[in-house]
Amino acid sequence: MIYWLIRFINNYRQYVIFTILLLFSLFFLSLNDSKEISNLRKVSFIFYGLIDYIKSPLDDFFHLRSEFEILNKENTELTQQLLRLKEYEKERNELLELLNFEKSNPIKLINARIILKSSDPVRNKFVINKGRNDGVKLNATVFSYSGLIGYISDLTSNYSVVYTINNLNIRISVKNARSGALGILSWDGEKFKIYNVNKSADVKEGDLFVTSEFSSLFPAGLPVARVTYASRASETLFYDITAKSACDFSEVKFCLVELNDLEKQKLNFLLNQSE
Amino acid sequence: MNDRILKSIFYLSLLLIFQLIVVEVISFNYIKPDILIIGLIYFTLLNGQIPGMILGFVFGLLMDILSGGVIGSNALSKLIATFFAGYFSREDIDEREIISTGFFVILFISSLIEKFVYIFITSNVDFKYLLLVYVNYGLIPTLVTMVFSLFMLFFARKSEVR
Repeated sequence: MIYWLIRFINNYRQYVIFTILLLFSLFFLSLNDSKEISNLRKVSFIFYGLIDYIKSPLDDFFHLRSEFEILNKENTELTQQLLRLKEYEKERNELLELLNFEKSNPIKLINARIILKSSDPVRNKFVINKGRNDGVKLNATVFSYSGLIGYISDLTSNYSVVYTINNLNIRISVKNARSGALGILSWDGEKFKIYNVNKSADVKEGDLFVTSEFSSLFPAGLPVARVTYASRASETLFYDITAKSACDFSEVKFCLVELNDLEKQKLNFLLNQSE
Repeated sequence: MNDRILKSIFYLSLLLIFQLIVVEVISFNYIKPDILIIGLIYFTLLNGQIPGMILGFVFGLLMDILSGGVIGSNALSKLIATFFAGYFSREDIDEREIISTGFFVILFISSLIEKFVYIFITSNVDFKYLLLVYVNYGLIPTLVTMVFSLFMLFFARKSEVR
């Protein structure tokens, strides 16, 4: 029996080795959500952090001028937004007081630099230079001054992985900033599509879609995508809409991470309502 | 034989680091070459199916760990690609004989197989989009890989002639 087994392995050793390695691969694939594999994956953050540590002084030296101009422009736009938001905040607090509603905490943000953009074909992600030590939490929203980027999917003490919205597995509830039409935004591998927007709604090319109040991933009101094509010609009850992301993923170098815990705020709201 | 394998492992390690650092910088969106598969297919044709499969698995796994991707995805896809390429290796083959039209055909098919397996196991896409995703993220990067392989092997041949 053993002799027969040894002869079999000898004659077909390439298939035996292939099967063993295949089983190992499937074993690793099945354990991807486990804590041990997540810890193993964090080795990549250390690797890219080290590369960035060596590369960034050179990068900074050669790109100082262009980065200054980008930051200056962002600063101006953010200042204008801040003034507008202060007005809205004042108005909102007055209305909330009228409803005897608990005032929400101000949004806390931290800025971060994108040190790596991975163009994995089906799981686009960025790595940023802020982590747990800076107050970043899992599932925190990440955005730039121009629009939504994604959310924090993994983190270590000093680095975090941002799962960007141009991923095949993400669906975002959005609404037209102009007409309020609701839809679901997703990435089909090549471009953004907005589904389930009723044909009776008002949608035009150039319209901006923002995150809606029904989104469980992101806070409402963040710019997500701009319509590039909208047609009622499809045979279904819905529009055929193609859009382009509000944030240019190939150009963006800096981002903002929300430090408030959105889920905790939502939970507080629900608890207050039930009392 | 052992010296050749050790030298190959050293060059493959350099290719892996080049793939993880330099290629990420020079790539445009999803269009990037897979330098590592070029090295793995060359190594498999030179040293045989079994060493090729083992190194394909090991370097694929290293790539998964260092790139922060799905652990096991590159290991599996590169294992299958090198298993396929191994059928075309010969015991008495010389390094200079490998670089031929046959090599580029084997590399092209192996790369297509590798990309298909990788996309199939890592994406959760609907079947109707799979073809579109495969053309964008499988076929186009494979063609870019082929262009890079021409440059790499041209310079490798030139350094041997000197």
